[in-house]
Amino acid sequence: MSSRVVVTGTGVISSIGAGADDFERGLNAGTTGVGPSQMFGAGTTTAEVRDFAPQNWLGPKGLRVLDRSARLICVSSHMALCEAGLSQADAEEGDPDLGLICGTMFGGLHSITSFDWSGLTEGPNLVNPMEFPNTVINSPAGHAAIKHKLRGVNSTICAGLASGLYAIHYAAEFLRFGRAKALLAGGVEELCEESFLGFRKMGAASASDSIRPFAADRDGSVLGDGSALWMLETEDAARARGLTPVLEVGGFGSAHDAHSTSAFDVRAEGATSAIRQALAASEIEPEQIACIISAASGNRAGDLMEARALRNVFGDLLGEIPVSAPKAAFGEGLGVSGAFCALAGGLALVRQSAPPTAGFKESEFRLRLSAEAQPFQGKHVLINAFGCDGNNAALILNLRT
Amino acid sequence: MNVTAEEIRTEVKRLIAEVTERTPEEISDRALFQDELGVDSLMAMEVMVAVDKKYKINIPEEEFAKIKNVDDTVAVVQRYLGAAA
Amino acid sequence: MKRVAITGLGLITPIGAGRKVFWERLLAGASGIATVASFDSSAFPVHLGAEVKEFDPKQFVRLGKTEEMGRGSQLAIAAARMSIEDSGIELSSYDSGRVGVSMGTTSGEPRLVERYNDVRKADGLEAIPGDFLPQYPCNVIPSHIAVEFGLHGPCMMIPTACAAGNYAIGYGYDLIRTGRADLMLAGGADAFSRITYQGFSRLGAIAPERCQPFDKNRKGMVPGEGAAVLILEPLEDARARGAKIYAEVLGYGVSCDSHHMTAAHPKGDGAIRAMAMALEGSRKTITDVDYISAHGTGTPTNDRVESIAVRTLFGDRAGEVPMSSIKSMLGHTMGAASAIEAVACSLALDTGVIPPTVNYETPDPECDLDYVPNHARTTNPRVVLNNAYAFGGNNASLCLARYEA
Repeated sequence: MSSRVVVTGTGVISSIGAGADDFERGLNAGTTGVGPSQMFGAGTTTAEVRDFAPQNWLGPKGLRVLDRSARLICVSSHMALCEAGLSQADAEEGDPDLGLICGTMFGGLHSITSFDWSGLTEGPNLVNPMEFPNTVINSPAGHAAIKHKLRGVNSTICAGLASGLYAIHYAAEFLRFGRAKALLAGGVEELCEESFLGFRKMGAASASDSIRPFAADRDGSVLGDGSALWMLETEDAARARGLTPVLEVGGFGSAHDAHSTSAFDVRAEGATSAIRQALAASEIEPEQIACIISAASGNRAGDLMEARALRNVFGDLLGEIPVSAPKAAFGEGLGVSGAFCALAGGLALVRQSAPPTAGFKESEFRLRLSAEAQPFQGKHVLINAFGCDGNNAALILNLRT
Repeated sequence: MNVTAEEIRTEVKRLIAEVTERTPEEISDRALFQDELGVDSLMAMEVMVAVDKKYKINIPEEEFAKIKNVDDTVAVVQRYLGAAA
Repeated sequence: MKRVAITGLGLITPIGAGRKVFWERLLAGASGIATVASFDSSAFPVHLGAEVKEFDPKQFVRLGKTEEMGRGSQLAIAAARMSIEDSGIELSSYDSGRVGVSMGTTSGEPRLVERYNDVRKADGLEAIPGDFLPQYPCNVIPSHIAVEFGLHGPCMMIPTACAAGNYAIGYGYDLIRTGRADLMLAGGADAFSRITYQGFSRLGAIAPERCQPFDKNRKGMVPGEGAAVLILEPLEDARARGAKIYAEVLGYGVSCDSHHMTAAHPKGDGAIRAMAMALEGSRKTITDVDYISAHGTGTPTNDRVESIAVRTLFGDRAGEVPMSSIKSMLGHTMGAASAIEAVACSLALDTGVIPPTVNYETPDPECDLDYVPNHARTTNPRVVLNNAYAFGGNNASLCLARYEA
């Protein structure tokens, strides 16, 4: 039970870069993936994965039946498997102790909508049967398992904007219980016309087409998409394979606001509790947190809620702890955002530097945000993932030395 | 609908090529869908629906289950086209 | 690690709502399958569905507004309320931060997508309402439960399709046994949807006349809907408060076929591994198992492969272990199915009676096990396995045991 869970591989595809190196470079350069959309026509803005060419990683065959979400996670899982040295490409049968835990909110929202649309417009007997399996929410994870021969647990976790962190924790627990040897864990979310339109209709989209986390004039978010996964193993298993892991998945906390399923609870009780639980589970004090990766994405209530939660937990320490709000770079990735933030936190910890908050000018709250990288010294980083469905999660990463 | 056997053959080969990610030239008239081309039941059904849609016919599933290759498919489509005429 | 007890059962199904009605009708072989009523099925070649009839969500949803949530959430809240009442717990006596929700589903709130397309067809995209996006994602189902009952603990949906209920109960069990929660509401929910229906119809998987799992002449499954929520708590706590303990959760196993999105592995590879993992985690062997609640959808392939898997794992003992499919009566309630079946397993352990597979007439040489044909049977099972298989090659088996004080 006390066995440590460590990171042995990373796969990521996002609007700021594909692969851990590009992602890190983009993040540290302070660039943003928020920009013109290739998907929704002139004048529209997103933080989508642009010029997405899955064949570069997966080869030309077998892509036909995969929707965008499945393609994204097949690419990120390919990267993480290769980096961890656990690719099953040459194996006759895949490893039954190798699995995937996928955080997502929608799975293939476009697939289910278009499958229904073709039934509505052409009649239920002329729909393409191949599209049906893509309508289930676990279809991205299922496709990735088939493509990469992952025969162990294949679970999909949906906990709103906290999905990515829930998935990482779930995977860590499975490894501690000995139910698997190695697990890919993180998330995927695709941008599609339905989520793009729905986000605008619910009033969450930024009118100015930019994400200004914690700014007094913030006016909403810009949707992003992509996939981010870690390969997780127990430290013993990783060392037995000759690896020297540096990142450990630490304590996790989660709490529901039980207030609304569509509005942030600005009292911040759930968010505060989630962070406190993560600290307690890690057996560390607030002053040991060296860097905070924020969930802020320019939502008026959401950012206020997080600022309050941080104040509740850290008090005056907030003047000293660097905070980074990387959604300004990779957009609001919904179900994948927790996984994106976890990756950003891991890179920050290894580099001992909080990534810049892209385009940062000023904050309404007394938080140490910056448009520049902020060096720090420490062994623990906090990652937040809070959502307007009431779900809040926090995860701590530890540096192994 | 006035369609020649060759037109149907071309269309069926195009569809089989699409679902199996090959070129139409690689699909012979007699190659077995399941054993030689790797067409599984879901792919077969996809082709069936596409053929139904294209020729505005309705090939019943039990009929389609008997189809083994391009030649069979062309024959069945012709039969149902004839019935529809 | 703590032992985990099941102390509350709440469900709403095509054969009725509530533990008592459900169990009486299930043992009597009642059928919840009828002609589809919630949409016009005339364009389809088949017409059977297993819908929840006469459901008044307002009877169960007291805090939330029923018109602001999808049917999946309404069914889930109904099951949760019945389960809480059945358990006799006073929620106010708990630290709400240690009471959580873990649910499973296949499609979440598919009717929000149907409405999206209906609006789009009638009035164009700009008419799409603002609640589409916030009320569609399946995490709203457990979130609505959390809001309705004021629960502040871990809250998640595990949408692993038709095996989701077992995944969700399994994770609830993990949270209790590791002491991360004091009480978990765990189960599954799915709403009847033309999308699901269209998919299974197009695959030719829906039975035209009857659902006949394991019968030689079986012709398919019947899509359904429903919800079930189980109350899980530490066995010690249940004992201390003098609670009715229906069953104990011993463990669960999960695996992936990694073979095909819709078709099961022909030799039942993943199904075998999930059952073996469940038994291993439960510290039980095949000789301990007294009953298997089958996934048993009624499709030719599923039932054959599941029988092969059980035959392979149990060897010579396979024929001695009764295995029935209540989908013969309930249809396939999708993400709710394995949660409803977990309720049936709990009640089988509690009452000693196992439910039948109805509509079983002609034995199939490829399905050569004891399927408890047509009549419930008193066998006093002590250890049972609950099987569930899903799109994406997901497999999950849950192991439950009779609690003996």
